[in-house]
Amino acid sequence: MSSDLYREFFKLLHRKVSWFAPLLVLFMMLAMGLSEGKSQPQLLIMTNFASSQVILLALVIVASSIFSMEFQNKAILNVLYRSPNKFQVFFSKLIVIFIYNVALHLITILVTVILSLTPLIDKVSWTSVYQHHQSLLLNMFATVGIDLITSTFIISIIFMISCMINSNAVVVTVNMIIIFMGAYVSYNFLLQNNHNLSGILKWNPFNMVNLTQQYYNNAMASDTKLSIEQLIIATFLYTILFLFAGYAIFRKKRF
Amino acid sequence: MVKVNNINVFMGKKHIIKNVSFQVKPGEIVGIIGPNGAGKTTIMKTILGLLKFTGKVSVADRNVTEDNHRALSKVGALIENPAIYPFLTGLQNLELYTEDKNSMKTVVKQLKMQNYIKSRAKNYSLGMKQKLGIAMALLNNPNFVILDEPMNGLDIESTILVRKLIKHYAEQGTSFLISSHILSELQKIMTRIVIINEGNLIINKNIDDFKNINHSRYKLLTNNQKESQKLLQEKGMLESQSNKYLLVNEKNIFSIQNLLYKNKIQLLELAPQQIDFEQLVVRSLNKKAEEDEI
Amino acid sequence: MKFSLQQEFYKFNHQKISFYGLIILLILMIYSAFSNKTSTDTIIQNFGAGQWLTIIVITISSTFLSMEYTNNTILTLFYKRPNKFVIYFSKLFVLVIYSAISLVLSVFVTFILKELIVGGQYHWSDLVSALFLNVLGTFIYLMFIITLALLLISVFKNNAVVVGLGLFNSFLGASLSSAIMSDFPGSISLLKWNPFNMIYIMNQLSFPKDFIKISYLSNLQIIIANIFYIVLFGLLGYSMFKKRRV
Repeated sequence: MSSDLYREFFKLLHRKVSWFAPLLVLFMMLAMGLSEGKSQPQLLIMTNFASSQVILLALVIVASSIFSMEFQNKAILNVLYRSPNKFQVFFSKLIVIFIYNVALHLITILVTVILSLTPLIDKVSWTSVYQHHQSLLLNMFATVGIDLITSTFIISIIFMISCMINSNAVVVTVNMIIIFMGAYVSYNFLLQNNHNLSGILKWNPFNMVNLTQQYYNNAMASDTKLSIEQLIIATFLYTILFLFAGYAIFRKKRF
Repeated sequence: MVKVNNINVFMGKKHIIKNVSFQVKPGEIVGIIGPNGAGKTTIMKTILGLLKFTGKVSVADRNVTEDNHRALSKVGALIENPAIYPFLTGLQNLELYTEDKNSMKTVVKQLKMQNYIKSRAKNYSLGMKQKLGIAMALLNNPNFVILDEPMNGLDIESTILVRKLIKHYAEQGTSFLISSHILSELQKIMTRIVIINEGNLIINKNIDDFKNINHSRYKLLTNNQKESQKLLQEKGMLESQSNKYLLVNEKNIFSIQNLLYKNKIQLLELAPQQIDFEQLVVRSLNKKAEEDEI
Repeated sequence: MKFSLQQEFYKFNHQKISFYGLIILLILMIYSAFSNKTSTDTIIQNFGAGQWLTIIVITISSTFLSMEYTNNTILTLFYKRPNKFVIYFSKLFVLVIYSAISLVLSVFVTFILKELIVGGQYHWSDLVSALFLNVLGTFIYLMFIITLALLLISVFKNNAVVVGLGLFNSFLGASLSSAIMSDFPGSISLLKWNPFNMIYIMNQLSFPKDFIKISYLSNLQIIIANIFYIVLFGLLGYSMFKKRRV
């Protein structure tokens, strides 16, 4: 296991795209700071400069090729026979991406602290009570925590789809559509009309993409029709389900 | 070292490997030969636990299954194209799998790759990639090495180098399973030949035995070929003809000489038929096909 | 050149992804038709065909060039073709034709969907000219997307990055552009030319009154700016493609 992990880290850290993605996050954070810095400084800090979505974008770009790259150049054959079993291959890739995800979140915290010291945004007190009757500082950490759940959920989808589809481009497109349009599709198509089935349809996986947003914007609850606790539990369960499905597909796959 | 026992592989409903069994002993170099699509690569993948199969594969008396590769810790392999990450240097590609750095340096030196090993693999030529793939297979002093078409894209110098290296490793007890379509290449190194056709194992023989079975024919030239042909046919001793020669079985050569002498025909030439290795293999494949038709 | 084009069309037609693209377009249009109340606006917007096509065309364009590198067939192209210009522009041309065909198809589907859903409620004579302006705007923007995708693939050489960035532009580019312009009202005269702003051409031609306020560009300006970017991306992309080592 440790050698599988070591190899995955080695490969991840040597790919340019792993270093390019954080730059993208940084750029988007700056852009958000430029546009909202004077109007909603507290919200910006709580959400780490609205980095949730761009982190998902970064994860899609980096994680979707972690499988397809090896499927394409057949390196997967080498990886598989050198590893005790397929589970370890799948699991070490998952751990590596999960740690990458945590690292991205840590970077956004660091960048948020640095940017808050610059004139880019108005001065705010970190200890003053903001949302959920908690200090801004706690708000920020809680948002990161919640966003880790949301992004792990997205990772499980990315893994499942990349094991299903070999084409890198299609994997990226499908995931981007889920991230950027999932919430919209869920609301617009399934929940908006308040029909009899909403009670069941509100549990559809697309609805879970809203988790982070609902935490910092309570008004979302009327769209998702779920409480934050319900969202967390459902997201968690879907994550496990998709990971199992992804692994099952990976196991069955021929190389 | 390696035991393959009665394996079957299905791809969907297609039966691609049919009841194949063979063994590789320590230090043996087994050549696996067959036409394109015969199932050579599939057999290799099966031994590496990359496919679902029935039957038994064991390496050093430990079983390999699709979901347990622990027996493969001392196995190296090069399958299809070398599995190389283009964004890493050659050395980094090796580092990924190496257990001790000295073995890595040795392999690089043995394959004479020092000049380019530190540049990125995406700029490598086909031959350089192939050598890197072979190097990856030879890492960590393996007990058993699988090489699928190892001479692909190598220049003559490298081919000789790789051939010597394989022999060198075999002398120290490493077993090899090598496939190739260039028979002459394998002929020089293999100690056992396995011929595969349409998923069936046709021949599994020590290389010397294999050469012998087909050496039992003699070619015959006399001063009166027509008459000799008639005579031999009557006695049922003529096997076939090739150009001006009549082909006969080794066990009959003395009675044939007597027969010719009695009929006053002079013997001009009687010698073992020289055929090259390639013909032997083609003949084995054809023979099998004919038998199937009957 | 003619031969080149034939070959590109042949490959394109045999790649499943181009066919799937059309199927997905159809499904998404039907989805748009039934998830919202149909009004004259949705009909004019081709039941959302424009926004869906940007997504589809990015994916297809990026794959259509990058697959030659993945399969190493780019080498064959290079030595079989007279020059790199022919290769690049054959690809570009095939993709532009694909966009045009998809658009024609989407108009056809719009006609059917309109009849099915609202019947004779709205008169075609009121809609047709706006609808065709919308199609024209979308077509120009799709060329923008194609040249951008080919440029990005020549720069990043990574399909995932290109599709990711391209989709990011489609989903968030417009709001990013608007946000930046509203924050620096003093510099709008300059910022309105930013590439993220170009996406408004899809709707501006048929709804000029609403969209001029958002894009700050007149119809003529936004067309010229789009064409400028198309030419710029095309030339930049070609020069990067030419330089790229195979």
